[in-house]
Amino acid sequence: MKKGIVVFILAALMPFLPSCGARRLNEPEDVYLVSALGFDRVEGSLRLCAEVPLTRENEADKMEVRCFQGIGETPEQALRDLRAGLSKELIFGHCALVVLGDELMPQDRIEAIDFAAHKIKIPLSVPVISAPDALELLAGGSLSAPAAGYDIPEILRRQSKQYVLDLRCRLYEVLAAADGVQILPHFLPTDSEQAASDLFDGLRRYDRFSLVGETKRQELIPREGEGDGT
Amino acid sequence: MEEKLCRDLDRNLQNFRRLFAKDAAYRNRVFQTGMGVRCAVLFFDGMTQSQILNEDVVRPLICHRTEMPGEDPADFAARQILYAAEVKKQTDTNAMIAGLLYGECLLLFDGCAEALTVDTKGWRTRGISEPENERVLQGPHEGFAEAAMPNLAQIRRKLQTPDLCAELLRVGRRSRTRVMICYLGSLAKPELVATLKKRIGEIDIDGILDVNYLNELIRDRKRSMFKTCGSTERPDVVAAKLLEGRVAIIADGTPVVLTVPYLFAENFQSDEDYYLNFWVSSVGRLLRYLCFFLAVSVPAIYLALITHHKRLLPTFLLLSAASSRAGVPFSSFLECLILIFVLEILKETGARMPQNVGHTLSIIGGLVVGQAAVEARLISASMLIVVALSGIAGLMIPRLRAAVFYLRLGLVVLSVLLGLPGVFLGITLLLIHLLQISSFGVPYLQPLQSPTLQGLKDTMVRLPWGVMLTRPAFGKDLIRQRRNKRTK
Repeated sequence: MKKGIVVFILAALMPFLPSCGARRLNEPEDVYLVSALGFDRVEGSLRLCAEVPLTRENEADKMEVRCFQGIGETPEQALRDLRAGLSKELIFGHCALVVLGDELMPQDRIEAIDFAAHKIKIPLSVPVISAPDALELLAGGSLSAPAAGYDIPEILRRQSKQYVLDLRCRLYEVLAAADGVQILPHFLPTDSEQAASDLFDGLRRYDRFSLVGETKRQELIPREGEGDGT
Repeated sequence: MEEKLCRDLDRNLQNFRRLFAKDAAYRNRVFQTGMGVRCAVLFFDGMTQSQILNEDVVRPLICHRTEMPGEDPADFAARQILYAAEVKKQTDTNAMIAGLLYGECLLLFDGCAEALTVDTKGWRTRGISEPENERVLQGPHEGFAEAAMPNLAQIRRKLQTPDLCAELLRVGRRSRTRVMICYLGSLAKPELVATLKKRIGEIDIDGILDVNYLNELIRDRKRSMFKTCGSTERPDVVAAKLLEGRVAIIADGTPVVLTVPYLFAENFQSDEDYYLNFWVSSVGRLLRYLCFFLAVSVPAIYLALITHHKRLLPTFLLLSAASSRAGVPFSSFLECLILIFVLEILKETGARMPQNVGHTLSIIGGLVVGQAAVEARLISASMLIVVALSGIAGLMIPRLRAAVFYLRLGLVVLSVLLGLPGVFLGITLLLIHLLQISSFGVPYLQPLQSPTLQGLKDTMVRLPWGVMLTRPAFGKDLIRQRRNKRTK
């Protein structure tokens, strides 16, 4: 009788186990943790780039990053192309930044945001920014921290304290305003001689993902008693 | 010896000599008593106290010159001659042999088919010392020794009441070990005592050399890794348990005393809890519960997170785990298993070694080998920290040592197969198992199973004595303390 109860409980639990995320086992060093994701349009195709911190033996503090890229007509094809050249699995759950390239068409932007939020399921609280070239920004190496994915959100957080407007635009906010107006922070790739805060260029205003306006950083209204820090 | 005693002393002696022909410690001496009857004294060398034997038995028998008033010489000697305090007339040869083997001396008289057993026990036992594994900073420092009667005396010294009952049983076909059941007649439930006696009575084994033989034979759920009989070497602990309506089992030849019923919450109670301030004791109790959870589940949860649920870990913790694992040839699961077994080996060797060697061993094993293994990339530092944390947490609850080891191992296997749902499945099965156990009719998880305010006063925390008014619910008389103005 008692054994029967235990077997019944086990049998009842079994069907739910695969839905709990315990389907695939892999070691932490056998995966690439994507720290930032970038979308660009180059030569008529969509380019997906993933910034990945590389783990070295006992050197978590001395992080190196690499940018991998894949090309395709759609984000799915680009991801397939990207994965084809990698020896490890990509994990998007720790992605901290989404970069949308300026050359992207409005439809590309919709697809990219949808792909990031619903297909590869990166966290919805991740900030979204725009840049002239996502790959150039992510692989530029001009940041104070090696990984742009971890440094740019921090820059945004600090800059937000200086201006009246909150500069951080989250993925869920972009999704919610898909049929309306989105304001994205714009970042420029700079050389390593410049300060990291110089990457922030200003804000870009999109209406249904079409660029409708731009506010330069110098035009932003600082909070009372605060300079812009430059 | 099947044969009964006859009136011929030489024939009786010959029977005893034949019985103990291959025992070098067997002694007998035949002499003429002062009352003119031939007598033989039989004893075992090393089991008797020579002074009592010489001064209180042999000397008065030889020196007491008197006319025997025509009665049985054994009766006359017991009544008039022998100085020893405990003298028994025996007709049963098995009882005579049992007495002889327990250190008594046997007196046989010519022309008499009965014998006298005289208490001359004098075997050496260890003195009272503090139990090594139940040391306290504050409180009594005495512990039991190997002899049952002095152990009972230690309990009686703490509970000076005629209500203290001590029933003697003999267990073991060959060892005939003396086992005593102790309880307070007005507090222990008669059903509990009856069940215990029935279970002990049903034991049919060659010998009982330690109380753990009894523990395994009388306990409920014999295959469970959770103890359902408590064990202690401290008289104060036994006295406290008897005052709660429990029953103690003392076996001759071991300093460990069993107490029943034994509940899950007792694994987290320390002797010192009652001798220290209740604030301090309560923190200790809560920490022990926390440590049980940590000891059992930390390696499994960590393994599930790094192998199945990477998303749930903070990014930099995951990066740190990944960098520490880089270059390690084993999978996280295998690494975890190896470390768990190495930890057990270190604990086992440390426990068996003399204290000085034990310290050296822990330094070599824990620090030197651990650090060298990490530097040689045989194991990762993060896994070493996790398993070490679990091992240290396990040391807080030594009574659950076996259970912690097997549960830790089981949860690790479940976590690597099923991830966190596997860990929760394991914990659920553990709870089901705990709910199924009972100790002598008392549910094992009481008072956590059906909590009451009074029941919980000495469970997760230890409340002040002023508010602990009742005994645990399995006792006969539940009133522990009557409230008066001062305790209010």
